[in-house]
Amino acid sequence: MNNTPRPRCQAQTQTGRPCRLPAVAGQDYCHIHIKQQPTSPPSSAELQAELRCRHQTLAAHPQPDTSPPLFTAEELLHLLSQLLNRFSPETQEWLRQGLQHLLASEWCDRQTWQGIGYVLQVLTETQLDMLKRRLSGDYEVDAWGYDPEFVDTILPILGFFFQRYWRVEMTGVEHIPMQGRALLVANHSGVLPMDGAMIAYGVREYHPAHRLVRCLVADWFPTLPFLSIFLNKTGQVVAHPDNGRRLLEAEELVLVFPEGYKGVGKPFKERYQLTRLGRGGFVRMALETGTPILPVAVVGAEETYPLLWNAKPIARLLGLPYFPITPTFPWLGLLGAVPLPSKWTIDIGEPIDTRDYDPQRATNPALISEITDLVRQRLQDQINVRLAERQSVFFG
Amino acid sequence: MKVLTTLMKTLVITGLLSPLGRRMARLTASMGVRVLGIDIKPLTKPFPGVEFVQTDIRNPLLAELFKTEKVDTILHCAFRWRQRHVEEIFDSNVLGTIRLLGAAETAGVRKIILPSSTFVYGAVAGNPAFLGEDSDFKGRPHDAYVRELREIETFVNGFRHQQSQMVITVLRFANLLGGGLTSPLARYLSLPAAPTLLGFEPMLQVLHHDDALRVLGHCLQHDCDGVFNIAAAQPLPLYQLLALAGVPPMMILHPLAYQGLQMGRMFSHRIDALVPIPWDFLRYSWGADTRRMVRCLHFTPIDAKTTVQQWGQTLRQHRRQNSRLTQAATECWQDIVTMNQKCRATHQESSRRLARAVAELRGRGSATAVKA
Repeated sequence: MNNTPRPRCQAQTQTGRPCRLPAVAGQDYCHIHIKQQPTSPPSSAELQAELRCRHQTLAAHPQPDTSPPLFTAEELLHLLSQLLNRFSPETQEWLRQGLQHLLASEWCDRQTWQGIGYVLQVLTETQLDMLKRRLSGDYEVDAWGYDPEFVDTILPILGFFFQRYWRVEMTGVEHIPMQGRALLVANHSGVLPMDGAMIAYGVREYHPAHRLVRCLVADWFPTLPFLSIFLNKTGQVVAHPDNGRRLLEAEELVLVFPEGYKGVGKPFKERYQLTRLGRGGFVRMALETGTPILPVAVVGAEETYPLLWNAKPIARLLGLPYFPITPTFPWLGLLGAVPLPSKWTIDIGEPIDTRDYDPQRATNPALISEITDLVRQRLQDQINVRLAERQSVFFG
Repeated sequence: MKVLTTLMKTLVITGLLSPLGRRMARLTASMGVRVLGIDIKPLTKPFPGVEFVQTDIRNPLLAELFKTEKVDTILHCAFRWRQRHVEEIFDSNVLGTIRLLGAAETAGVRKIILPSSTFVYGAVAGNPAFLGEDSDFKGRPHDAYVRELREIETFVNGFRHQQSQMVITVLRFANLLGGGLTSPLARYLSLPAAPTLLGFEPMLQVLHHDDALRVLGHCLQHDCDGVFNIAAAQPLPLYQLLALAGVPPMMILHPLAYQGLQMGRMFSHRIDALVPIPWDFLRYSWGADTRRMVRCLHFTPIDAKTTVQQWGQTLRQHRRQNSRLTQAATECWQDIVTMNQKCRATHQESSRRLARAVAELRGRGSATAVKA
């Protein structure tokens, strides 16, 4: 046995005392500190030599470039072609054709998008400009409140009803004079007075002079909110003899519905039968001003709301001139107020010249009732002719 | 309608201190007419060229005055625009006019000119868009001034039939704008926000205040017997009028508006000031037919748009001058100016004292030197 004590570890513990463990044989440190103690630090000359050596090896074998390649159209096409090659030949052909089509179409043209952007910009600018102008009060209305700008904005809605919904067929527009006074006398039908709007739209669009039709409306409408503004701005006027005379003297085109509420609120079974034409006030108006009378027969409007019963007690209760009960209203609520898409025709008849009569006799009741009957007869004849021609309510 | 040129000798203007009376008096006095002004209120500062009589138009001695002064023309501007019915005001407006016409009759006055308003026609749904001078007065008169004007006009109409030789000119002016708060519309447009009925837009007619003066002047120079509507040719929709005047609208649902005003009146009559024009006149159009004005008076008023824009501008200018900020700034500036003046005075005073002391010291110094 070798009894000589093994030399102690030369290192210091973490607390700063000399380590008391025996050193490993042949070494200066114990088995713990031997790993921590560096084998003698390398000299700077050695380090420099190693550095040089590494540098030389690096220079001899350059590393491959790992930065991503620059994005180019060629690269993209290459990638795309790689992608395409993965599909089956049929799909490849289909895709290729689709791509070619897309590239050839104008949607890929830069100018198309520029044009669209330009149009949108101009549109918003003009709309904003108009809004600003209207808010500052810089717009023109005539003495009756007719606002041409407002009419231009709502024209597409009326156009939809005229052309698509009721597919209105209009004849006899040429009977309306190019200028000067004329009195249109129409039969009133349908629960809502949409026939006036359709006649006015038709004359505006299809008459060569695009004349404005001034409709004389019942004095109940100005008492209703919003509707009163609407009527005012579209050039409608309250039915008063003074108003009518003044308009005719200003060489306007005036439309009257002499039947009034009676025509609008008549039941379905009496459709297309003219009721009394008021008290002939329109005839007196025409006689005094020497205005030609043009009968206008509207067919198809009666079927928009088939009125089963005019509930007069409810009307009286609500303060309305009539209260319609139709197959859908008021059972379906607002949905029931949607009119049926019947096919309409508007026939403007030949003018009845009132200048042949003496204006002095304009107050003569016999003459007035005579002419009223004549107008009524003409109107009923026009309606009857059209009704006989008609095959179907909805397809004409 | 007889239109004759006459020479006017003595003109009486009642309600001299009303905006219309004041301006008319200045105008006629400058034209060399002898003007006699009557008002219930005392004159605060002298009115050049006008002989002033402080009296009520109900005074029974007026006939005597007219006779002794040889009055041949009366311009009756004494009308107090009150919304609420007050017995005193009704008395002075309606009975005053009746008494005045009676006095004129006894004194043999040749011509009476009566400014009225198109408010008398009333606003109802069935009215034609342009009301002629012979139309009936329709609708309920909501505010006291409408009722009083109607009573006056009805009386004058009857009076006209009795008097064939007297020239009675009634001028129904549309809403007057300009020259102060001369009409309900002017007061309406001077509100911070104008109450309107939601979904209603009547057409309103306006008239420049200068035009009113021109028409009155014309009627003073010529004999225009009858009733005339005086308004600018083009009626304006309410919202366009508000936009041109630069007043924001405050839209109210119409049943709420009617009920709310009635309810509000139960608590305080100050609510009337918020709605100077009755609701019906903001709901239906009440335009007047001006064809007789053009035909008989050959008169073309100033464009309506210009009138409203001018009114808006003057209103804003007035507001800017009278705003609290401006006033505070002006006061501040005044303070600064007075302070500055005071400072300068004290500074001058002190420098003067200093100079005097220096001089004194110098004098004393030289004296001591002499002594030494």
